[in-house]
Amino acid sequence: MNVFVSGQYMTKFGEHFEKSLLDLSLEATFGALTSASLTKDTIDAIVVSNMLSDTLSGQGHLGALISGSLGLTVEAFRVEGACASGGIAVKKAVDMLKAGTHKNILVLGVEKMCDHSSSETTQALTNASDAEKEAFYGITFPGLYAMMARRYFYEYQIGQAELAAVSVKNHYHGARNKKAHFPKEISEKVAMTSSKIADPLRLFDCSPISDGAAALVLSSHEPQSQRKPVRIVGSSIATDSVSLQERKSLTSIKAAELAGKRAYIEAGISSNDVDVAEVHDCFTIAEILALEDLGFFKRGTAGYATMQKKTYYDQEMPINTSGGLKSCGHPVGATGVKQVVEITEQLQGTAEGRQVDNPQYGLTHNVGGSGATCAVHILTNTL
Amino acid sequence: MKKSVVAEWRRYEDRYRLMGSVCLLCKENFFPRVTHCVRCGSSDVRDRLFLREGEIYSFSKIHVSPEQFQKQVPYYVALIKLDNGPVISSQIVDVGSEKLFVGMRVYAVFRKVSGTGEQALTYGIKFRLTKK
Ligand SMILES: [Zn+2]
Repeated sequence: MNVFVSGQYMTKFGEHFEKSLLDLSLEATFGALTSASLTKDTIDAIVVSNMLSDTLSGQGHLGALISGSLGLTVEAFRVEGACASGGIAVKKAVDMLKAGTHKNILVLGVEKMCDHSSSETTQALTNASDAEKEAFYGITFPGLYAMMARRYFYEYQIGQAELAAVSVKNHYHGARNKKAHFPKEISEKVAMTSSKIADPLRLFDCSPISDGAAALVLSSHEPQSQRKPVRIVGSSIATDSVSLQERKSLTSIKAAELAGKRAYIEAGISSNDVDVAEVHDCFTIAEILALEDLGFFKRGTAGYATMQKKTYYDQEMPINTSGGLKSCGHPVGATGVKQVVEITEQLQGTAEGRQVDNPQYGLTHNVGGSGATCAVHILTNTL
Repeated sequence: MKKSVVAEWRRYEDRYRLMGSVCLLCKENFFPRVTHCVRCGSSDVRDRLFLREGEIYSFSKIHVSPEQFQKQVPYYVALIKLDNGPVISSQIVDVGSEKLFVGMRVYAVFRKVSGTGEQALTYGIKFRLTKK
């Protein structure tokens, strides 16, 4: 059973003080429907991805909220897996299409984070860690990734310069994406002298707090539009312990390795076949781990490869052409859906200003928490 | 989120005394206590008091914290490998000007963890650097 991306859209990521959770959701939804040349009445299910609406907007029950706001009565529900909510939503829609029970599914990722002070939002994001083992002791989210970075420094002898290279590259890409939250280039010096958040991580090692939404229409039949058809040929989720203290290693994310392996098998390809990838760079160290967990670079070498500029959009392994979470922004529930939007555009040849040369396979890697959930998708424009 | 007194009370023994569990079947250690073994699935687990010494597995200095920890900023958090137990999460206190590194020796002390004003106070085990 084939699964096609019929339509895709993302709102600009950033501060949307004038727009509500619902405003952003409907903009993305109608954007994706227009892109698919479909009307809302052709949608037969809705999967919503969101992490924080209960905590920050006092709003739950998002499936019906979106369905009702579209004047529909279809099956609709929300999924939550911290920052991996978007990837989970895509996978659930893929599963439903493969089961043959639905034909056109709207996948909507949305997050509204900027209505609150950064300390309130940071507090809400801490829900993704282990409340009793980690958050209890004042271990913040950046603190968890900082401990992964510190251990990586110890095991592989890299330092802040390698981390900064990830941030500089992602801002270089983001500067070429008008939907990005921070579409401007930065220097290594700016990255390495920015304020300390959780040592060794500085401000420019961390993805920002953003508002935004992204939507896809996934279909079981080939779309009508003139663009190149893009299919999802690998779709996988794996999980591991929520707390870091129970992991065998801090320098790889087992859930990502497993989800990657399973997705490669399903797609019938290997990591060598991937031409472009969107990976979950919530923190710079996370991109380095991702590149190794997915098999793009050997253990301990992804930092060096990034310093050598191998992951720029016109080089051998283009990573995060959207600007990644760092520069494009990270409206948590929207991110995993946005990654699929970006890869679809790359495979259709419409990623203006940052287009990878004729890619055939693209991959998305969406991580929840400090690595407890990972969703990997593989897309292709080959027949 | 508001702290629940009951939820904190459930963990008193673990947090005040460094009480964890050991699986009698596969010998795996856990902290805090568990009701079954995550490794082998056995429910034959017993309480186990861990030794109060260990070494730093990884660490970070937190400069931006949640509201209830703001008075402590900057502070050190760490993963600590207990000498006869598992890796656990906590804070390193009374560091002064010393530079932390992976493998550094530490020992457990009893401290206030969080809470000011109207918030419930919580207590638990933190760690200090062992004098050479
Ligand atoms: Zn056991």
